[in-house]
Amino acid sequence: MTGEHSGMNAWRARVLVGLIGAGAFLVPYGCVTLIENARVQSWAGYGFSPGQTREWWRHGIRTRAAAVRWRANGFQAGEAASWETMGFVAEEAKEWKKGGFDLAGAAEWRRYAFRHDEAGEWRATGMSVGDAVAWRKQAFRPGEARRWQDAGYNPMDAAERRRAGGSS
Amino acid sequence: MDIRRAVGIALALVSLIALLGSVPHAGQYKPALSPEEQKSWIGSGFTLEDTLSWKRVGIGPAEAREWVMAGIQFAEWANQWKGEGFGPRDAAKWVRTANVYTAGEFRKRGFSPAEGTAWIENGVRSALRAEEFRKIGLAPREAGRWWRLEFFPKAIPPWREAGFGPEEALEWMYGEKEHLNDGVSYSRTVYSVEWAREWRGAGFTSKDARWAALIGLTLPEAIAWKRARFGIVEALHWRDSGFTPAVAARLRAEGLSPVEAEEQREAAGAPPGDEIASLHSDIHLRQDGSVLVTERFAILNRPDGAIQACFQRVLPAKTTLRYRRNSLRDARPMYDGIVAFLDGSPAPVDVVKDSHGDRTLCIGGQGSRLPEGSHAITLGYVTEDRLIRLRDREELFFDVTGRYLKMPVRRASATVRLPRGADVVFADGFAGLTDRKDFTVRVRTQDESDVVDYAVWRPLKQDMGFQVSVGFTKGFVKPSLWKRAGQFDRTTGRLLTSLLILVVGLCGTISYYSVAWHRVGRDPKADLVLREFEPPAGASPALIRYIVTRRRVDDVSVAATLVHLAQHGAIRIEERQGAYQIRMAGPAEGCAPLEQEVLATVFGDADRFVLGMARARATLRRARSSMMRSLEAEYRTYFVSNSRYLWPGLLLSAATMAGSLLVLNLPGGGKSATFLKIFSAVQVGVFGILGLLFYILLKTPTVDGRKLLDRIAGYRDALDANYRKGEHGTSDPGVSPFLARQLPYAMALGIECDRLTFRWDSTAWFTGRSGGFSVRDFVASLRRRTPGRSESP
Repeated sequence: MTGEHSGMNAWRARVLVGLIGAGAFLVPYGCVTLIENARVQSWAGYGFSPGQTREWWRHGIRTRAAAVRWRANGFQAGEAASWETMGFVAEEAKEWKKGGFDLAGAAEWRRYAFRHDEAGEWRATGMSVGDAVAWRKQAFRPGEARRWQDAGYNPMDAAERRRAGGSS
Repeated sequence: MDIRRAVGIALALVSLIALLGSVPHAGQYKPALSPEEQKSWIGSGFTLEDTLSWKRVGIGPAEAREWVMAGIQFAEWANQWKGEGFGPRDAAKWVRTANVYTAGEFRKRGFSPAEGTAWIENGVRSALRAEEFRKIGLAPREAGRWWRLEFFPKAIPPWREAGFGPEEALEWMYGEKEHLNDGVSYSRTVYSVEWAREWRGAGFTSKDARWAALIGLTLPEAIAWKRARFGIVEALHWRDSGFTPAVAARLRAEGLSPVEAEEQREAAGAPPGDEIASLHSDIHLRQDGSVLVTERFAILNRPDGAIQACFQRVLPAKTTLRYRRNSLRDARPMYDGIVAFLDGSPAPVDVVKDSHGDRTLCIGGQGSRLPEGSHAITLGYVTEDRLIRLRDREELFFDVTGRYLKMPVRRASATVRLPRGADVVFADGFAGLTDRKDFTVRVRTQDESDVVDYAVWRPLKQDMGFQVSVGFTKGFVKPSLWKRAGQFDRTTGRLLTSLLILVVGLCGTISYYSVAWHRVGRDPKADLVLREFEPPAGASPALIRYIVTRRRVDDVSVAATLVHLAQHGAIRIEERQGAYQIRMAGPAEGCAPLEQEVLATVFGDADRFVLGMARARATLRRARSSMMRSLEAEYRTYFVSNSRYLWPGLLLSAATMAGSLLVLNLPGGGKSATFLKIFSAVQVGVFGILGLLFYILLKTPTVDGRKLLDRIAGYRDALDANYRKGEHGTSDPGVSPFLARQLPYAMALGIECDRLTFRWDSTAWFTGRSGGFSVRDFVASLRRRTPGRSESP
């Protein structure tokens, strides 16, 4: 050591600060980009173009398995995301859709513990969810309920009459 | 980079890109067309664009015209058909019913276009499947009927041979669908064709046959009942009441129902014992998931009946919940707030818990006796863990009769009340013998809550039961986190409780140790360490080594002691050709008692001791043991172990482990045993490490010990510096009397002194090699056996 001041000059210090600042952005950005590209590549192996992959991500479906499952059941990213938000799994959603239910309808029927096939049968009789709930409560099947309803009975009366051995 | 070089590279890249751009892609190939060709194509009715596409796939104008006439209008499409080996005429026969690949498959498996079309039109679109159907002799139309009902070709022949058509086979083959929790998949029982043929042959419907299979009615029995003109359900009721077909037919002719006939028979039989005239259970499912149960018994206590003391009711520790018809889940419900009334007055309830955890309630108290006659008993309690949570609904399952009812129940009923807002999805259950449903059910709404009333229509004998199962819509039962944790704890055999005990015990143990360490285990503060040029007064080299090596006595301890003794004139160390011997030289004046003891152990009655013999090693081992005892005694004056403070911590650890393990009530089985082993081992490991850690931490020097440590530190510092100087100095280190005098202490402190040579003229106690005394060689001689030496000195 000599007694002379050996510090860094101002310009060099500014450049260093600038480089650190840039690095603080570029390093994480680069890492995230690399990871994202690797994920895009892995999705591409399952037939998703980079655009499609990002589309699924944008709709909140970030796992490849989930996307593959929804796609295999005939759903696009946006639609799949809506059904998933309402708690449907892909196969179940497909069945509801096949039965002619839109998401709101399916969610409504399912809220009252109707399976897609049951809901289809009740709806085919022209009954609302509320009616179906009331008739099911008394252990009526859809067709049977329709007949009793057509005969002018409400569910309670119909159940009483049926217990007494009567028919619609 | 040089600017010229950069420009060169840029130009090269531009040229490369231009070159690549000039190469036409495969799809952009534009074949040249001569005027004659153009004329020919246009003459065949093609536009220039079409012409180019047909020409690109290698099809000429005439052939292209044929493909178009066959209904295949595009060059690429025609090329596909051509690639599968079809000509325009063949393709024309298939194109309306199949795509090119399906058509290719059918043709490959020997189907003509007409045959293929027939199969496809009947729903069999796979050539492989059509071939399988054809092999079992089915025509397309019949195969289509089976296939639409999801019968695979292999499954069809036995049913067909047994005379079942597709619809009938389907009806007989499968039981009802039982949907799984995913809302899509399901399972169902598959019945054999032999079974179906037998039952159908006997004139039963598939429904009757399945019902008979469920309740265990054999075919001969069913035939007997049928001959007596009973339907299966009716036969079942009479059979459950204990009547044969002939007797049942007679009683029915008299106008009796099975229950009436049963009661009549019992009235005419042996005098009745005790019985429950009626049992009504009010089951109120609350929003927090707990179930408030109120049971009302009307008891008939007759002489010499089952009731010999108080009326007993068993609340089981473990119960099985049934859901989705055939699924089961074990539950470990708790019971709380047990109250009882006997004939309208509050009655004491004594609870006895058996080894399985079942609670037997003695209503009226232990030692009391229920008087003979009729009594009304009301029992109330709160229980939990009775719900099954499924994806789309929840189910409440409750065993009304429970186990161990030692007397028959004449009339049983139950009312299930759901939380407000919850809608009944189904009301089911079991009453009577296994899997029977001898009850009626009614659903009503009361105060915006669904209420389900069950009434069992037959008396329940001792081997009969009554369970209710109600499905309801989700979202109306929300147990608190505390309740869920309790439920989880019970289901997992008190795992949470065990972990809680472990955590509390561990925290308690750590706290205790910390307090103990804070009070007695902290070392006195170190004083200012000054360099000292003489060892602490009264501290032998062996003691110093014992302290700095954390209570070790090794060869270096013995060697340092021997050198120290030699310095004091008690012994002489002689070396000849690498072999050492020690001779007695005088009294051990000024040496520590420990060192005198070593002297006595090493020499005994002899006046010399030769190193390197087996006997010498044994003697040195004894010397080390003797040193260890003496040093330990001396050590205790400088250091205290505080081990008495360790014991309460160890006891606390043992109590925690015992409590944590004993509270567990895991189900038997290999997995539980493995878990228990691992869990125990982890606990022993954790508490063992904790104990060991605090055993070390609790040891502390006394005030004298602290001073000794400080002085040793100062002395070591001084010695280290001087020896280092001696090592690097140019003068002969052998002549330094200071270094020579401090040699045993330097050895004890582990200071590097091997590179120094102590010549005979500076070490009067040593005779031997010309190079002088070597510490390393001397220490090594203590543990080596010199080859060729006899055992006798």
